[in-house]
Amino acid sequence: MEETKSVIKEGEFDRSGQYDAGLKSLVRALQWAFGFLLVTIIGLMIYFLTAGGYFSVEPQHAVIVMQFGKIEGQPYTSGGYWFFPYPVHRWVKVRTNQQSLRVDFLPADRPDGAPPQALVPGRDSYLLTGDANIIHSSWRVNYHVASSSTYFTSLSTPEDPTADDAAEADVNGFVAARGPQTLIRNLFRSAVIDITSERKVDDMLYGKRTEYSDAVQTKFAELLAQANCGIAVDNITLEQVFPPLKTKSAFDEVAAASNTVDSMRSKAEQYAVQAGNEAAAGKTELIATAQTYKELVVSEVKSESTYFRSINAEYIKNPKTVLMTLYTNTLADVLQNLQGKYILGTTGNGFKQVRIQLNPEPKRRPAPVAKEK
Amino acid sequence: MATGNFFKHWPTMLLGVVVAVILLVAVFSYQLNQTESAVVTTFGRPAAITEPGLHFRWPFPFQKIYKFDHRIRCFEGGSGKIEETMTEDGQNVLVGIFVNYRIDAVEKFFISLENMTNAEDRLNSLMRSAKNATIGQYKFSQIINTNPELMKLGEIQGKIQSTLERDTAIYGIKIVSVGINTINVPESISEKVFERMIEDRKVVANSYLAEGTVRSAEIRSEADQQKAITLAKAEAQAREIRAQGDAEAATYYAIFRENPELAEFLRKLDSLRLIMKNQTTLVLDTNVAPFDLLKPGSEVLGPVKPAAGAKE
Repeated sequence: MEETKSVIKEGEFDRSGQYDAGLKSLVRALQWAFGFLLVTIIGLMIYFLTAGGYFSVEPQHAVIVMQFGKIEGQPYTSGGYWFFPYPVHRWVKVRTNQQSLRVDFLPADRPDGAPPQALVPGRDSYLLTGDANIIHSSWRVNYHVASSSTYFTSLSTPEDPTADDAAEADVNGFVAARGPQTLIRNLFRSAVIDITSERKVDDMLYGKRTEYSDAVQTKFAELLAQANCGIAVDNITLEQVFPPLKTKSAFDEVAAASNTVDSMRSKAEQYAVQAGNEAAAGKTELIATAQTYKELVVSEVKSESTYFRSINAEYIKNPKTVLMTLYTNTLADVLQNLQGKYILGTTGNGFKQVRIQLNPEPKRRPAPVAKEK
Repeated sequence: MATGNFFKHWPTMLLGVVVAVILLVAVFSYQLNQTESAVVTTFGRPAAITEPGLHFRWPFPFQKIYKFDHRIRCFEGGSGKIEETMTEDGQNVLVGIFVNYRIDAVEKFFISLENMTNAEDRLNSLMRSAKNATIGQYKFSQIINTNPELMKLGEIQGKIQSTLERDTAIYGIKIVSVGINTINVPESISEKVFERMIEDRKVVANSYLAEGTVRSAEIRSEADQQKAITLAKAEAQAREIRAQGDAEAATYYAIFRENPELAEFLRKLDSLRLIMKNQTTLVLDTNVAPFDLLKPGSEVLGPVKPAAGAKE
C-alpha cells in the first residue's frame, strides 16, 4: 500500500491535503475495478475461444460449418466438434430425421349441426376431379432431408433452419409463409391437383384409392427431384377422401345401391353354388341308379337263366307236370292278393250277363261318437 | 521510463489492441455466406459480389453492403391470388399458382427492385397476368379431363413459367418452377356442380342396381344352364351304363333259345305276377284251370252244381 503511487501530484490539487486520503482510495478502487474488468474480459475470451467454438450434433441433425461464410467440407453428423468461433466459423443445424406435413383440401370448420353450405373459394378447400366433380381429401406427407448441404444451399430457410417457416407480409399486408415447408406443401398440392384432375371421382372414392395415392406419391417424388432441393419423400398417406357434405346423401344412396347389388350378387352366387350342388347330386344319383339298374338287370337275367336251366331240365323229363305246377302256383300267388275274384260257371248256351262295379268306393270309417261332456 | 510503463501496462495495451483490431475488422470487412449474394455500392455505384467469404470494404459513407439470399423461395402469390379467371370457352375458374424463384443477377435485382418485398409485389402482379393470359387460351375441359390426351394442365404450367421467365429476366430473377396449387370454381357454380353430382349419383345408383340385377340373373341363368348340361351329360352317361347292363344281360338270354316255348311260358307267369295287384278285379270262368275242378262233371269232384256268382 505504501508503494502505490498517486496519479495526483503532491499538493497540486489538494493543496491543503485534506482530500489526499480519499483520492488515494478512489484511485485504488478504480485500479481494482480495471483489474477485475481485465480479468473478466480475458476469462470471457478464453471461454469464447473454447466453449464458444464447441458444438454437439444430435443423431436427428446434421451441422453445416462455414468458414467466413463458405461451406467447409461435408455436413457433420453425430458427435462433438470444435471450430474457431464467429466470425471465423459459423454453423447451422439442419434436421435430417423424418418430418411430417399435413396437407388438406377440406371445407372450413363449421359449428356442429350447421347445415352444409356452398363452398367458398379461399375459405373452403377442395379438389376438382377429371369428371368435373368435387371432392375433399386430407393427406400426410412424410419426408426427410436426404442431402443437408443441398437443402441448405438451395432452399431459402428461416434463420434457424430447424424452425418452422416464418410468416412474411407483402406490401399490401398479405401475410404468407416462406420456407421449405411452404415449398413442399405447394409441390404436393400441385401433385395432388395434377393427378386428381385426370381421374374419375368414383376411382378416388371407391375402387382405386391406393392407385390414386400411389400416383400422387410418384408425381410428388418427380416434382421434388426436379426441384433438386435435397429432400426425399418417404411416403404419403391419404387419410381421408370424401364428397362434399351437400352431396353426401346422394353418395350414400350409391353406397346403399352398391350394397344391394353385392347382396344380390351374393344370393345369385349362393344359388349358383346350390344349383351346382344339385347338379352334382343329380348326376351322382343318375349314375348310381344306372349302375344299380345295370347290376340288377344283369343279376336278374343271370338268376333267370340259372332258374330256366334248372326248370328246363325238369321240363324235358315231364313237361305237362312242370307246366301245370308252375301255372297253378302262379295263379295261387296272384289270386291270393287280389281284392275281387269272380269265378263264373258256364251255362248251357255259354252266355251270361254279369254286372260288376269297377273301382268301388273304399269303405268309409264310421264317424266317431262325440264324447259326452 | 516510457518503456517501463509500456511493459508495466501490457494487459491494458493488449486489450486496447484487441479491441482496435476487432473494430477495424468489423468496420473494414464483411462476410458473405454461400447462400447469399451482395451488392456493394461505392458512392452509389453498385457492384455485384457473389463469391462467399471475407471481403474488404470501405466503411460508411464510402460503401454500403446489401445482402440478398439467393436460394429458392416459394411464393404463392399475394393479394388476388385466388381470383376468377375466364377460360377460352367462357367458364369461370379460380386457379391459384405458386412460383419457385431465386435471385439470379443480384445487381440487376437490386437496381430494379431493391428488396424482396418489392420483388414479390412485382412477381405477384406478373403471376396474375401470366396466369390469366394463359388460362384464357385453354378450355375448361383442358384443365380437368379424364382423357390424358385432352389434359393440358402441364402445358398450362409450362406456358405460365415461360411467360414469367421472360418477364422476370429484367429483374434478375430466375423462375425455377411454376405449379398450380388451387383449382376451384365460383361459389354459385359449385352449387350447380352439387346438383349435377346428386343427379349423377342417382344415375349411378340406378345403374348399379340395373347392372346388379342383370348380373345376378346372368349368374342364376348360367347356374341353371350348367346344371342342365351336367344333368344331361349324367343322363347320357347313365343311359350308356344301362345299355351296358342290357348288353351284358343279353348274353344270358342265349340260354332261353334252348326251349323258347318254356321261356315264353315262364315270362307269361312273371307278367301275371307283375300285373295282378291288390286293386285288381279278376273274373274267370270254370274253364280255366284249376277252376275247371269246379265244373259239373269234374273228374275229381263228380257231378256237382256250379256256384255261379260266388264271391269272396
